[in-house]
Amino acid sequence: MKWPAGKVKLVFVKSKVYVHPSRRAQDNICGFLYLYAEQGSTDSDLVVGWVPESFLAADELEQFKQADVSASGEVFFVRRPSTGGSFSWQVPLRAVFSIQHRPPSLGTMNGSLLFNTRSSEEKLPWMFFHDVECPSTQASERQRVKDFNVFGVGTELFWGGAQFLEELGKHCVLERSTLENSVLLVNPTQDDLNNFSPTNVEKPQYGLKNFSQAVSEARWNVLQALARVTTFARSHVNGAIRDSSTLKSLLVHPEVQKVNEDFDSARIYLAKWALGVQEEADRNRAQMLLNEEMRQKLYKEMGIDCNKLSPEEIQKAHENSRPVSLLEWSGFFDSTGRLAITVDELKDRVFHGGLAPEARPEAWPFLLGVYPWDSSSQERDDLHKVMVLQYDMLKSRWLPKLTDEHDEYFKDQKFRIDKDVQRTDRSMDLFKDEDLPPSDDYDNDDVANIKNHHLQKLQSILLTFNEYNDKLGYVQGMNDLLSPIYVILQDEVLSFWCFTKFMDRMERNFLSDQRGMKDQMTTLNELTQFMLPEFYIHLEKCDSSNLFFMFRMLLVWFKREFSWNDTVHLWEVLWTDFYSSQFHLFVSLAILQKHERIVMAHLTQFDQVLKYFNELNESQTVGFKLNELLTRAELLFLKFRNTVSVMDTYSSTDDGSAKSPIDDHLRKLLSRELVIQKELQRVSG
Amino acid sequence: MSSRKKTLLKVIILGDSGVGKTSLMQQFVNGKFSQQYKATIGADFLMKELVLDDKTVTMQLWDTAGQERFQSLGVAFYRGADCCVLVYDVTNPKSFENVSLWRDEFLVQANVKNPENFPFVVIGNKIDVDESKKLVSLKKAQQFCANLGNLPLFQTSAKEAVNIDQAFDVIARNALQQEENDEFQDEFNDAININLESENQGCAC
Repeated sequence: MKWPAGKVKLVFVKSKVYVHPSRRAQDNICGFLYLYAEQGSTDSDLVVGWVPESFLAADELEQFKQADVSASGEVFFVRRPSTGGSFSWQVPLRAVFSIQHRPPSLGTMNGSLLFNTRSSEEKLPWMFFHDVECPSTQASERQRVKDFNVFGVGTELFWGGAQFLEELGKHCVLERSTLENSVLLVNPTQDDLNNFSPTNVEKPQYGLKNFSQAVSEARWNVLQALARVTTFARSHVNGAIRDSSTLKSLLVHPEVQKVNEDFDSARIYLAKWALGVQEEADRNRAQMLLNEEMRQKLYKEMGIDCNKLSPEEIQKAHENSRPVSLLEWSGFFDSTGRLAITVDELKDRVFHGGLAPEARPEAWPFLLGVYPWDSSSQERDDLHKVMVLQYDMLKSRWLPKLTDEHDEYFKDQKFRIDKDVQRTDRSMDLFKDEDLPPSDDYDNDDVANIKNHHLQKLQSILLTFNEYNDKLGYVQGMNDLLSPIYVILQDEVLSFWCFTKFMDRMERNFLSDQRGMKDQMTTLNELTQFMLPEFYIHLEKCDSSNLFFMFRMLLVWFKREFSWNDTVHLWEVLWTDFYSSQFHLFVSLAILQKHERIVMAHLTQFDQVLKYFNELNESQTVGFKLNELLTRAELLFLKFRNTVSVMDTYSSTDDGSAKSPIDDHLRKLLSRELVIQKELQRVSG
Repeated sequence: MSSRKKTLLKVIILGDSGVGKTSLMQQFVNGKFSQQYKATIGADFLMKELVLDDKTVTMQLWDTAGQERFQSLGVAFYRGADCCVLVYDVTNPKSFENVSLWRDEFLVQANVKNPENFPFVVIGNKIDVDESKKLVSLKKAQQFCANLGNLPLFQTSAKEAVNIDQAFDVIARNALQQEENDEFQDEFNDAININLESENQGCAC
């Protein structure tokens, strides 16, 4: 076929490749990622680029679309694509230094590629592959399913970006960096290889065959860096133990212990560990703390310095989260209304992206456990009917008490509820207006006179809860926990049952002896010592190591600190129990970590620290970017989990003489099972 | 007294939930009132600088949650207090009955040196309501305060800013005196300890 003058040959085209200029879906720009050849050019002269659909004339658009789906062998000549737009780009393949690739996962629905050029000034945008919209990817996927081979590799990782890389692999050398699994070096020089792939002496070219294998090994996620550090630490620790146990010898070496005793901050630190938090004098913990040196070593290997998140990590977090829309949510269920994916898959998705506002009324009753995950729509309808009956029955228990002058407990509780309902989120539109007509005995100053009908619903629900859980009854702060549920569901009966489920896990916050709160503060205290030891020492100097300044955040799950939208998002994330039923303590830890530097640089007194944290409220929401905070919390959790596992490995090789330093409080943080603490008998006040 | 450093007066405000502790503080410190305050959770404080005669003092006013069970945290906040304000709601007799409970609670938790001389000030809030709604009479409250050792009593309205400055002026003066007594007490105790060491025992009291 003759090469038309002035035209280029499309070697490969992928349609429905997007630029995401912002996190809002409506800003996404759709286009084509292409590879073209000039007349008479060689492979190294190929040009890679991206052009928005809107930049192509109608005939060009048609050619690109055909090129996307065409079988190989068909040839398309087109005008050289324009690079006029703000996001369109093209670079010669020889100018591409590396490609970062991120396959899709449940957290990131669209896989993406980033081309890094050899000139560091030129920054190209991430290319997002919207596989579900892309005809060629869909067609290949169908073909793959048809040819499905159980012995194949990387079956779950098929996506548009992988196809593009496979094609690219025919024209150049793609070398995976052993330092950074998600990075492919393009035609690397020997220097590049030494720098980025030090252990890789052999340089097999990535062809069609081993590419998918490489991709499946290089599963991308936000936490890849951490995973790498951990694998390294693990092999290192194991190695150390194998070869005459360097670490083990440190633990028993008397000189090392002596040096530690002479070292001031280490001593404080050790002493604190030994003393435990309050009454928790745990000898296992003390055992392990005998050796600060070993601890430091472990921390170093864990990359404890990575505690300070890099801008890239924070950026990744931003890209990772997109709320579950109502459409997506409905798609999780089959025609009978039964969940069609696994609960974990669903929770993964909610944990990482949260829910869109319109999906919340559907999703919350599931997340809170009112609707069983394996129920059908019919079963849920039936269940709802039962819930209505039961609610009415409970309500009929307190209605007569309204006129009973002698029930002092009820009167006190009602008074408490009335007062708190009147001051519950009054800035919310729903609760703002006084929309009820004055009653006969109209009285402006009587707290029992609730003049907003939604607030009246809150009052009824709380009075009913006061009967339902009559040992606990209503306690201040519960109004804060109910209000978001009611605002989202706006259904008295459903809100009540969702609230009771929420209270199952939150009851520990409201016990008359406050032991549930104390337990959580103790755990957070230990976690802080464990994960942020420097900060903990500073907090001690400030008389603040009791963490009382975190009390409010723990009691009503950050509702007073975060904006409304962030609060509901955070709660649905916490309800998934995705990593831990006490993930809120890792959120707390993330807040502490976020403010560690500032507090250490500026604050020295108990009251200063309290004030500082008390004022991290709505008016300063900018200080708390929720997604960033959640990523911090996730990283901290994974780091914690890895540290525990490394320490367990270590102590298990130590013939029992050094037991695991991880006490029950901390170990429980790895569990997804709810921590239930209940009031045993009714206490007024 | 030498003013070797700025005087910080720590004041704790206690009382049943909903009597208006947060509102009183806000009215005194920021001169504003809102119907939309939320129930206090945990503890918080506000600072206000005040000139008493010719002395400048800084008041640190501590506000805590009113429900009893949350007071177990109090220890951390009560320590070093110079004055304690006990608030009740004139429309709520129960909150008035609880004033003496709050006083006892404070004395137990704050571990003050001289419980019988520690300054308390009592405030009956919400006097802006209709007369018919006032269920705790001034007379009854006066009687009560007299029995507790002539505690100063103020009837206030945080909503309409009635008697707020007067009440806090007395609170500040009491706190200042307590602070100075404490300092004196410390020096006095040191002196006694020195004497005890040199003279074995001997006290003519």
